[in-house]
Amino acid sequence: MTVTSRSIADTESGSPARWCWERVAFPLLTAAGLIVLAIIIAPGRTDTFRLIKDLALRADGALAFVLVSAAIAWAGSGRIREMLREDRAAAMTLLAVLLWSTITTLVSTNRPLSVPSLVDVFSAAAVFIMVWYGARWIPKWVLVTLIFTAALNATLVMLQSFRIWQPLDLEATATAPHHANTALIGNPNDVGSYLALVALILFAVASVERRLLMVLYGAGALIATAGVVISQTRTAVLALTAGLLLVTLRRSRRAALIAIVLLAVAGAVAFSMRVRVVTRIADSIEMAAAGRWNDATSNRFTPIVAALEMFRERPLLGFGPKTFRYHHMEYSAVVERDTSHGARRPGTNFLDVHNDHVQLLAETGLPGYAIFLSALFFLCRNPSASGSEDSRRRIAAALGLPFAVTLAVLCLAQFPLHLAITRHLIVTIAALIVGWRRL
Amino acid sequence: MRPLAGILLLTASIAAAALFTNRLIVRPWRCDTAKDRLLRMTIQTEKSPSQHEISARARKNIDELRRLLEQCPAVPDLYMALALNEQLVGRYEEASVTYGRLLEIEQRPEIYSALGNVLVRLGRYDEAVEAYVKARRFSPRSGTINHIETRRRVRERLRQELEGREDQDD
Repeated sequence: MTVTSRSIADTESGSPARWCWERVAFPLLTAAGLIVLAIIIAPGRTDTFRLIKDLALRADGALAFVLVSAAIAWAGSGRIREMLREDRAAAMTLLAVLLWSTITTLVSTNRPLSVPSLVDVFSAAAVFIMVWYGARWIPKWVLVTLIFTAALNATLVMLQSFRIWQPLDLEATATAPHHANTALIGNPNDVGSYLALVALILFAVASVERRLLMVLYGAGALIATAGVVISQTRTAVLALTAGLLLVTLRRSRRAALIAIVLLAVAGAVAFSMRVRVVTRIADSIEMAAAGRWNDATSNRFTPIVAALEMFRERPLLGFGPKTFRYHHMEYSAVVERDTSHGARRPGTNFLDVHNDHVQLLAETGLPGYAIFLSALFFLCRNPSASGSEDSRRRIAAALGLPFAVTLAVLCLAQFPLHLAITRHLIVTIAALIVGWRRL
Repeated sequence: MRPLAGILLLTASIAAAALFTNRLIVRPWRCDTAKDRLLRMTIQTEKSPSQHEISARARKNIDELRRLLEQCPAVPDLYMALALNEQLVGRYEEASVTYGRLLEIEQRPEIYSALGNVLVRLGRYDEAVEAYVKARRFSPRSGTINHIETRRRVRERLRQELEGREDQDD
C-alpha cells in the first residue's frame, strides 16, 4: 500500500489521522490561496488591484503544480488514476478547457493579447487540479477563511461607502465617488461579484451545519450579503437571490417559501427606504421597458450586441481569448450605426463585455461556450445516494446547484471568469465540490 | 513510482515553476513598476520649466522606454508614454509609428485622437480625419481638434453618418 492510499484509507475509515505531509500541505495552500487573493493589493500603483491579483493567481498555480508533482513523486500516480475514475466528466471538461483555450489562442486574431489569457487559464487549471487532488485531506475549516475575507472586505466597503474610512489613495483612478468603494477587491462591481459568491457559499455551508458552526457561517454570509448590497451591484444581488432560493429549496419547500416571503418583504422595505441597489433595479426595469437599453444596463448593451456580432462572424473558433478589447470599437461603431439594435446612445469603451456568456461566444466560439455550460452542468450533478456521512459530502451536495446557478446569473452582466479574484474562488470551490462529493 | 523517477519529476516541476515565475510573474511585475515610474517621469517632463529641459528629459525617457519595450512589448501604456515623449521632442513621424504599433494591441478612442493630433502636425490631414472620426464615432467627446479645417471635415463626416442613421429610422 502506498503512502497516499494509506492516508486515503485513514480518511475514509475515520480512524485517528495518521500524520502525512499531504494533510498539512494541501489545506494550507488552498486556504492561503483563498486569503491571499482576497487581500493582496498594490497601493500607490496605477493598477492597485487587478495585476497583483492576476500574478498572485499565477503564483498559486505554480505552487499548486509543484505540490501535485511532489505528491505524485512521493506516492505515485494512483490518486490521479482514482480521480479519473471517480469523476471522468470533470476530468474531460478540464481537458477540453485546456485544449480549446490552446486552439483558440493559436488561431487568435490577436495572439499577443490571447497568450497571457492562456497562461491564466493554465494557472487556474493547476489550482483546480491541486484542490481536487487534495480534496480528501482538505478539511471543511478551509471555508472558514471565507468568513474572514468576507468580513474584512464587506466591512471595508461599508466604511468606504459611508465615508468613514478610506485607507487607499484612489483619487486618480476613481472617476465617481461610488467607484472608490473598492474594499481590497477592485471596483464596486468586482466587490459585489466576489461577495455574492462568498455569501452563497457561506449560506450553503450554514444550511448543512448545526448549532455554533451554523451561526458562524450564517453570520459570515449575512456580512457578505450586506457588502453586496452596499456595493450596489444589481447583478450580484439577483445572482445571490437566485442561489439563496435554491439553497433553501434544497432544505425544504417550506423553507423556500419562507425565504421567498422574507426576500419579498426585505425588497419592499428596501424599496420604500430607497436603498440604492433596489431602486437601481427598479429604474433599470423602467428604462428597459422604454427601450433605453444602454441606460438600463449601465452601457453594457452596446458591448453585448457588439460581441454577438463578433460571434456571428466567427461562430466556430471565435476571435481568440481576451481579444474583445481589440475589436470592441469597430463592432460597437457598427452596432450604434445600425439602429435596429436599439443602442441609441453610445456605450462605454469596456475592455470586457460585462457578460461572460456572450464574451465566451465571441472569443472562443460555440465550442468554448458549450464547454462552459457543460462545466456548470457537471457542477450541479449530485452524487449517488449511497456514500459516507462525511459532512464535506453534504456541503458539496448543498453547494453544487446553487453555486452553478449563481455563477450563471452573475455572468449575465459581470465578468467573474475574467477576474483573478473570482476565477480563483470559482476553481477552488468547483474543485472542492468535485472532490468532496465522492467522499 | 521509483525514487529516481520521483526525484526527476520533482526537479523538473520545480525548474518549470521557477522558469514560469521568472517569465510570467516577476517580469510582468517589473514591467508594471517601470511603467509607473516612466509615466510619472513623462508627466514631470511635460511640466519642466524650459524647452531645453523638456527635450533633454524626453530624450532620456525615449531611450529608456525603447529598452523597456523590448522586454515588455504588450504593455499599452509604455507605447503611449513613448509617443508622448516623441511628441515632446518634435519627432512626430516616430510618434505616429508608435501610435500605430499601440493600435495593433489596443483600440481606444483616445489613441485615435492622439494619432489624429500627430497626423495634423505632419500635414497628413486625410489620415487625421479618419483617425478623429474613428475616435468620435465611438466617443463623441474624445479629445480636442485644434486644426479648424480638419475639425470641420470631421463634423461633416459625423453629421452625414448621423443623417444616414436617421434616414434608416424613418
